Amino acid sequence: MFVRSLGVYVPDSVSVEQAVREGWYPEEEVGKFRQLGAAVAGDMPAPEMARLAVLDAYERWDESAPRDLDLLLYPSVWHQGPNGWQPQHYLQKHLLGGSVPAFEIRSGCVGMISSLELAASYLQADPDRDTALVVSADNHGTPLVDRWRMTPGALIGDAAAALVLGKDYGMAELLAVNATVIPEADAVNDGAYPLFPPDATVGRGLSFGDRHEEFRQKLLKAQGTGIHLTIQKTMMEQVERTLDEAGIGLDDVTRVAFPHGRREDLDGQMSWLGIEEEQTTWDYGRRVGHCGAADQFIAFEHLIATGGLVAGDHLLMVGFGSGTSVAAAAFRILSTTPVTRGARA
Amino acid sequence: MQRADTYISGVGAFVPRTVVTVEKAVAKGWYPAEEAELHNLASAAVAGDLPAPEMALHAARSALKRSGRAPGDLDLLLYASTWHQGPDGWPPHAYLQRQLVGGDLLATEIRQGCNGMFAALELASGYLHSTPSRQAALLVSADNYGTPLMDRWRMGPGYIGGDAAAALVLSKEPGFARLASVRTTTVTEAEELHRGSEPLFPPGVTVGRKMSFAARNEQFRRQVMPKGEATAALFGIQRAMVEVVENVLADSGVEARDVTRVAFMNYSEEIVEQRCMAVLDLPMSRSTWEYGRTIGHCGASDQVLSLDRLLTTGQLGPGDRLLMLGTGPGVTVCGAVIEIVDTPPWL
Amino acid sequence: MTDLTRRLVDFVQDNLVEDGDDLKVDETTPLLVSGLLDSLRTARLLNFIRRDLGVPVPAAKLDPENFRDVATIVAMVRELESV
Repeated sequence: MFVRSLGVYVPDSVSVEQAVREGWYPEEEVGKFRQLGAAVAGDMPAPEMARLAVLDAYERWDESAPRDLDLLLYPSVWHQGPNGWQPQHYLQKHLLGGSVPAFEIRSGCVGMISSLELAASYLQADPDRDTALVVSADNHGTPLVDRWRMTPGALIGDAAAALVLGKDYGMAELLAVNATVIPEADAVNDGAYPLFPPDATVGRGLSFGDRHEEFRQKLLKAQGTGIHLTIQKTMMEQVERTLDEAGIGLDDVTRVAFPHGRREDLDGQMSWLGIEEEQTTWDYGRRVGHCGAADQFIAFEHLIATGGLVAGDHLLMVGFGSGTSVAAAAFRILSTTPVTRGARA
Repeated sequence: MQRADTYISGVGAFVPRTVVTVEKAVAKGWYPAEEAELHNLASAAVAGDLPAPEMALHAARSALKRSGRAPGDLDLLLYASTWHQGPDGWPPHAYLQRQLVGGDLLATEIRQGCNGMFAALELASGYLHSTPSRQAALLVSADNYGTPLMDRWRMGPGYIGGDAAAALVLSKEPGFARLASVRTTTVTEAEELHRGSEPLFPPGVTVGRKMSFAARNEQFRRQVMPKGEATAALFGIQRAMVEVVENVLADSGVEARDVTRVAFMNYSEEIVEQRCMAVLDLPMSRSTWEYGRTIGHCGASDQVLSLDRLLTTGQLGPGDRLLMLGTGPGVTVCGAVIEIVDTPPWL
Repeated sequence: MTDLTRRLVDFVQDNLVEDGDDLKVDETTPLLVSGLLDSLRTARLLNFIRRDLGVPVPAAKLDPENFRDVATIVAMVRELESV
């Protein structure tokens, strides 16, 4: 399975300096957490961001059109539009036409990685199927979210990423992808928070920060630091399994794209994998924030665009999400620009 | 797309025991008397404060048990939803993973409105058939509409919202029923039908906007319709219905008259008759309207709930065929044909 | 007005015009831009044409251009009948 093209829509970032001036972000956290800014989409609806990312992917590639797709998956994290309406229909209306099956996937922040698996399998199941697109977009600039304070240590950004999957050839090869869940690591699964009525229906804001803090306390009381170990151990297992299936070792990995989270968490992840900061996407991620399920993919595009990844390199993506989900994917870069069927080496 | 070897080995349903009749709803002023007469619906299943994921768990347990498979046999879990499920940013399928199937399989929530189960059938088939070692998938749908921002009695033109959950276990090894075909298409000209004049940003729920397809339908009729080209949408929907039906029947090698029963959405008598049965030229006695009118339109679960009901009551047996049809926001039009091969092992 | 036209005009008047609406339908009353049609009413109209007029409308003809007003529908029905 191959990556035919990658497209993105990343709006301009608002710096933490500006956020401090506006009173949105506490000054003392600037030096403490070392984040630089968050990409902010303003009032552009997420499906419109997705449309731009899809167009970007096709414009760079120039061999096919969205109407030719066999499947579109739209993993999303935050609310996309009117209730009872799904964002993929916007793409069907403007780009795909009605014959391309398109589904919204809700798998938290590992949604794009999970969708790669689903889409790749869908293509593999039928020799007549050729290309699938996975696109993710979120605009968190709505009531119920405070992008500067919601996850202390990290910032929430807005972005869209689109990846076209195809058989036989492409600019990169998707070597392996895995996703798993540690259901006992999520507070909600255990009844720590009421499932009913659903938050959104009572205007309850997204509050990962509070939930996590309380949960941490509860788990520490019950299990000690065991559960943190379980999460890290699961990450290692997913990484090992993915590298194994990809036929490469950690030494072959040029870059690792983690979610754009807290530096503290990244430090832990770096030591677990035994890698240095230059091999991570920290420098990019801290400028755009945690953009739903798109982090690793906008970072992928950024690395290609800035020479951080060249032909022959390997990219490892690692994702975490509520549930608690842990996912990983490995790519081999073949070309820094999309290739066409006739031109492939 | 023809699926020669995808089977259904288990079906599960959870319908809350509490049912609110249309009489009561009229007496309470929740539902207009004229609509009661016009639509001829009987009642709606109401879950109270039982969360949707809890209902999903019941249905999933049942389907899994009936399939004779262990949770460890599953390679995929797809959870179709149409309405909010719980805390924001939390995946409802993780609840089923905690309580039933564990973490070691690909699991995700999927949304295609009321056609979510059809989407799940498409994706699950593809997932199982791409790799020889993959054997089985669990498909679940569940919704509880008894929340703020939603009024089940004014949900949409000609239907009332019911709360329920349904589940299917799909497998590659022969099961009691075969998924002969599943098709999906979207009438893109009708994209605005389900959102009326409501803006895309900020998303309605973030500003506490109440949800009503009935209101949006009216908006669509009054504001968007006069533009003329918007009416192409309605003919497009009819056309898509005809085409999807033709395709799934052709995939399955049967004619409409060979279909034993037709499971459409749980809508009013007239809608089921005019928009579904008349298109097929089949009598209402072959529809699932009699059952559907007692529980309400239960999100993405209607068709599988009907399947469960028909099997349990002996109205579908070996050699019979069920045609499932649905329309949803997008506007998506989906169809599937299920052939009953054997008596279900749990009956 | 032919019998076919009459029957269609009557159908639209009795089944598509909302109670209380003042609209008097004739063969040139625009059907598409008038808000007379919603998904159910479109279905009713098509079913009337199929069952009561005996002319099933195939998918290919389900184009709004053929349903601008009663006169256009009559033209389409005549065309289908002659095949």
